[in-house]
Amino acid sequence: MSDIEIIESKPAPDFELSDSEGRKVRLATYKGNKQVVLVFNRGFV
Amino acid sequence: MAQLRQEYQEFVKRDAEVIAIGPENSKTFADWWHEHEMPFIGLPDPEHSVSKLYGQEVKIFKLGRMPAQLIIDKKGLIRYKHYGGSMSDIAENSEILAKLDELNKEQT
Repeated sequence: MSDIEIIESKPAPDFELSDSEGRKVRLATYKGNKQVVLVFNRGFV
Repeated sequence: MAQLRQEYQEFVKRDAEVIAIGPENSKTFADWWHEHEMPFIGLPDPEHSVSKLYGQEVKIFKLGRMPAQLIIDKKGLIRYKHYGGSMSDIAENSEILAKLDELNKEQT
C-alpha cells in the first residue's frame, strides 16, 4: 500500500551531508535550480 | 531503488535530482552504492540527522512510516510526500514523475 499525499507547502529544512563519494551535498544548492526527490530508506543491507 | 535506478533518466528529463538517504555507516553505504552502480546521489546518514530534522521540523514521519519519498520544488518547498508500505514498495515512479510534470508546468 502506498499513496502520494498532497501536503501543505512547507520549506524543506536544509541539510548537508557527505555522499557516497565523499562530496558535500547541501540541499539549498538545488533551490531555484532543480526539483529534488528526497528518498528516505530504512536500510539497504 | 532498482526502479529508481532504471528510470533515473526520466527524473533527469524533468529537471529533478534524486537524493537517497540511508541509515548505514559511510563505508557500508558507499560499498552498496558502488556495487549497485546507483546513478544518483546517495547520502549515508548513520546518525539519522536528516530524518530527525524532517521528523521534528516538518512532522512528516510517523513512527514506522519508512521508507518515504518527498518532492521539493524549485522554491525549496516540500510539495508531496509518499510513504511506501515496505522496501519493495519504494518506487511508484509513475506517480512521482507525474507530480514532477505538474510542478514543472506550474513553474513555467
